[in-house]
Amino acid sequence: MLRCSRLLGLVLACLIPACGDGRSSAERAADEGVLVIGNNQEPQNLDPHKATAVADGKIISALLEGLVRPDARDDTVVHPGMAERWEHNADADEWTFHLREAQWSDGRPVRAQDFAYAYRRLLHPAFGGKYAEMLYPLRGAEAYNKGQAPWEAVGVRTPDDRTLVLTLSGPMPQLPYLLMHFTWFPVPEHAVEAHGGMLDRRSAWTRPENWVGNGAYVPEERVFNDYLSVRPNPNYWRAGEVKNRGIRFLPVVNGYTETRMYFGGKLHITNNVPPEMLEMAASREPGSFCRDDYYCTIFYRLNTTRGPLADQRVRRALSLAVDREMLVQRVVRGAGKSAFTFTPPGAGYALDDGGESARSQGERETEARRLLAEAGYPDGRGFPTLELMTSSRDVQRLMAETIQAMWMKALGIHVEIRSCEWSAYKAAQQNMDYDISSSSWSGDYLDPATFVELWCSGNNCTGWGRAAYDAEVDAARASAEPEQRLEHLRRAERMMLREQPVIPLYWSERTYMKSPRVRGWYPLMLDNHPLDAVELLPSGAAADAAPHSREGGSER
Amino acid sequence: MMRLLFRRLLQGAVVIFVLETITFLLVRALPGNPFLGERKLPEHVTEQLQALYGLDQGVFVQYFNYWKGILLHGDFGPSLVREGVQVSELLAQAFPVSLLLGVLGMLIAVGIGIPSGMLAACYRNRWPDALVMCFAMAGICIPAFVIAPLLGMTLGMHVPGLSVAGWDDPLCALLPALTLGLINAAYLARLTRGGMAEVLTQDFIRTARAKGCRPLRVLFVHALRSGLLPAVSYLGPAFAALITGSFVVETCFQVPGMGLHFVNATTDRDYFLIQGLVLCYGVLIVLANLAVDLTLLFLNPRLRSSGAA
Amino acid sequence: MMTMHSKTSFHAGHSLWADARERLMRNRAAVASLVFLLLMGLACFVLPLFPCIANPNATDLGNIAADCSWEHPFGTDQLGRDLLARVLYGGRISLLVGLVATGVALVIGLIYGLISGYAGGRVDALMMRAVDVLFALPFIVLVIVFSLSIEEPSRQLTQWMVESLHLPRETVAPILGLVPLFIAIGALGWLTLARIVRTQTMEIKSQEYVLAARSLGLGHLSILLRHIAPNLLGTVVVYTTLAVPGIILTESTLSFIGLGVKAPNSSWGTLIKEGADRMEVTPELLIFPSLFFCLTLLALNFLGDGLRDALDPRSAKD
Repeated sequence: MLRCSRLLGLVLACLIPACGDGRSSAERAADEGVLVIGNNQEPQNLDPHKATAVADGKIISALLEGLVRPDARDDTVVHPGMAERWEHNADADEWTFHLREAQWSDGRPVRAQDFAYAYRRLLHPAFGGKYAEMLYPLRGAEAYNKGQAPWEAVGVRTPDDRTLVLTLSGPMPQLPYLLMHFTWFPVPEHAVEAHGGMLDRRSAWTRPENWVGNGAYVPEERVFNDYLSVRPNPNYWRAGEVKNRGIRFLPVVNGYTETRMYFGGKLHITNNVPPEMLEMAASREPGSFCRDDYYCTIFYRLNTTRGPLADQRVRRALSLAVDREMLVQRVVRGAGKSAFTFTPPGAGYALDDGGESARSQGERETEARRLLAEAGYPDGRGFPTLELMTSSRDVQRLMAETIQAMWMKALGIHVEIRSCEWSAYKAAQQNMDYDISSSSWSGDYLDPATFVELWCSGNNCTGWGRAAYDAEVDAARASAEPEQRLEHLRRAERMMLREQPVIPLYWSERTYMKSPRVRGWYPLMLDNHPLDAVELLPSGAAADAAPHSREGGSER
Repeated sequence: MMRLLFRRLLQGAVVIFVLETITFLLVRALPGNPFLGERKLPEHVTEQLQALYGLDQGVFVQYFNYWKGILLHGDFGPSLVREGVQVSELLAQAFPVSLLLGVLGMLIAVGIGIPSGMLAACYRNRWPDALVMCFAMAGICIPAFVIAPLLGMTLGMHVPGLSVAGWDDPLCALLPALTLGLINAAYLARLTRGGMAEVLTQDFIRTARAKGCRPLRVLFVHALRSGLLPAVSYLGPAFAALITGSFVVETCFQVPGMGLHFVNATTDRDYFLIQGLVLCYGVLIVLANLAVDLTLLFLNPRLRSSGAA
Repeated sequence: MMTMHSKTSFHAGHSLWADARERLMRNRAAVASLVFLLLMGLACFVLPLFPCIANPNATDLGNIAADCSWEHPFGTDQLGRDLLARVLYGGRISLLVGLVATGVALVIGLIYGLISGYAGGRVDALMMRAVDVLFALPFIVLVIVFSLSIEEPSRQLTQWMVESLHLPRETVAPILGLVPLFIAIGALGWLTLARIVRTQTMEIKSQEYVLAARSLGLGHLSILLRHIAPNLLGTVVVYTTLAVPGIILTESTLSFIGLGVKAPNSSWGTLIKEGADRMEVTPELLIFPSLFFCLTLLALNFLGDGLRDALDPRSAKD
């Protein structure tokens, strides 16, 4: 079939007059110095206070700059951004940032008040900021956001135009990592006020024609579902160091289509190569195929308020009966690591799984059967049919079908798969209208707290909650000593894993294609790449691909 | 003639009204809401957002306001998922893309379907007929969602200039349009063959031949006009098929048209965008049917006197 | 085709149905299609009952994307499931949706057309205007929104049946999961049939034997049921056959764009979608379901055409 199609292609190639100069659109863009990058989905919003999606965050990080900025090679390195330097008190709960002399893209100076304005806007009780929680480390922020305290009580002060003092509710030595998240970015007060004011959710200030930003780029053009292009911001304080002449973000949801588009010369960097294409992609262009660690856990939520799932032994049995090694090798095709604990290792945090990973799957299954029998369901007899809910996304569904079979084989219990399209899935999960729900979580910043805090009581969509757990998390929040803080988080996570309101499955890896003409893009766990560091080599110069590793590469 | 036009337009208005009402009610019955994020929003935030967009009001108030916005201000409402963007902007961007695909697809369909149907009719029950009908049958039975990936994979991957997916080059329109064209060409070929075959056996054609008219002249001048009637009356439904096709084709080829917007908007629950798109589709269908009626009227003088199509 | 029919001599004593059968049997394409469809029906609905067909959900992670073999005639899919079994089960769902949704359309269209045609006058005019209006709606758009919006109620119905009636969830859930599609596609696919039934009803109504029956004092209902409905059978059979492929196609299109049949069920549409995504890696995942799907549509179309020629000789084959 393939040979036939090539022949047909050849014939048609002669018939159709070659368009342009025979270069693919990615080559043409590269020659112009424009990076074309797959960005998974159409961004919802460029306003950092309305955006929540990962795709939005990537674009916003190119358009706005926070107090600090990320490094191109190492997630743990923090560079001065808008803040030239900063210091904190001994408890690390009061931070003073000294801003550099920088300008917004319209030439106005970036002031400390712009940060204060931004934080006030996101937290404003009448604004409806979906991601306001991200600012809760600020003292008094939660109370203000819930309308219980005035803005004056929030720990943000601006002694002068170039000094920002943040008072936190507890010690937080890891604050700079949080500051790289777009919720901590400033917004131009004058521009927001000129387009409807602080509380106008329908404000037009983020349109390309109205945009004012302080990042490396400004938006150029936006065609919905097609692309969003940005060009360098001449007023950016590091304008001279921006390595390319623009970026085009393409919203391609389907990883198969995206990978095909890469091979069809449409993209320089893709977002995702789906599991089944990994082998093909890696053998077709070994030098361009990338597989990076990612700060992301794939797991199943269990609704602990329902039937047998209220029994901890049942939950544990379900977890033990999942053959993670098989799942990772055969379904995800190696693009992940089996997870017996929840938080991915990284940022100095790793949790030993109590010898779990050292046991054989057979041993685990024996224990699972024993637990299930103890819970009153020997060999799965009498176990009611539970529903395993997944979104209709491809990998999630395949995973569910595999695990369904694993539970059947190991425990003799039948779960029914219920696949919902995206909105229905989210609604069901958040209303706890499910038994078992396929989920994933990727860290907002490089710190285990972004994973561990997920399971505090109240909002975790599993119905699980332990005062002791919340207390450990609070203790972690209150401790200034880094190792002690991590120890509190570890204790909390161990407690959660013992009761197993979730089944960690694997820590996923990011698999994507990167054109050999791309330089300055290195593996990063948070996938938070400073795009201004990405360079496109002129054609012909990219004879051999740059080694894709943190250490490799000659330029720095 | 004018009365017919008026009646049709009135009927069209009713169609659009009914369509919009049904959609309005159904969309609000969908599970979930447009403000769902990856993590659960605090109750008060959801309420604020609902209040901001008037979704906390009664359905009738919302319904009334929606029509008021459209009729008085030409305002289709805001997108609820991409806050700050108006539905009318999204439509303005997506409509020309879909229109281009639709028109190209229709041209390809007519360009392939009608000539091959005529060919088949002229060589009735001989090999060209069999060949055309074979292809037509295949075209009817191989749906757009099989053709689209196959075309993308074969031509898109290997022919320089054509693309697997994306919309960054004028030639990108070719494969999606071809897919849309092929699904309709098959029906058109069958209908043209049927219509022409029937006309060619009629007396006036025999008379024309007997008078010594050249065969081609007979075919194109005498027979074509009435022979095309079945094919033309199919163009109305063909237009609807283009819309269905555009869902498949735009998703397969990443074309930023109305079909892709519709599929995304339904999964995102972007109420106003869904309603706006449905309104757009309704208007298009009504206009297409009107155009077909008028064409039929032009082709078939008998209908003109009776005043009804 | 007209010429052929006019040559056919009608022997006295032959019923309409016998004639029709004779005509159908002479149409080789239609007969072949009929045989093919019967075989396909048997393969999809009966064959999986025998152990020679593997369980379509039995994953075998040690044997993923295997080539064709005696054990797996079509090979296996990305989870090592037998592709033949999956295609047959997919066909089950597609054919089921096709048949049931057509049934829904049939019931609505028949009743609507009968009432409209039999009542005549104002009622008829009003009812037909309504059909005109509905005809102009972008069908697919409504099917999508409608099927999604009744998904939740149908889930609750399942829940209720499992909890209150103590029906086994394993059997109830998959079928009830399809109900939104049955209803949505059927509820919007009855228009053509309603029009045709109405025209026929009006014709039959004006015939002498109906007039005679009425003058004898027969009630409307018995006239409708005894005299009119039986005479509509031919037309109904023809247009039902012709409607099935369209409805199967609609279902598969919806499934393809991710808004139709959902797991645990998979139809030909979802299988083709999975195959289309992976076609450069495992082309057989696209080829086999597409082949089955296209051949079935082909056969349904041929059979429909054949039946129309046989039962409704007046309409010319296009």
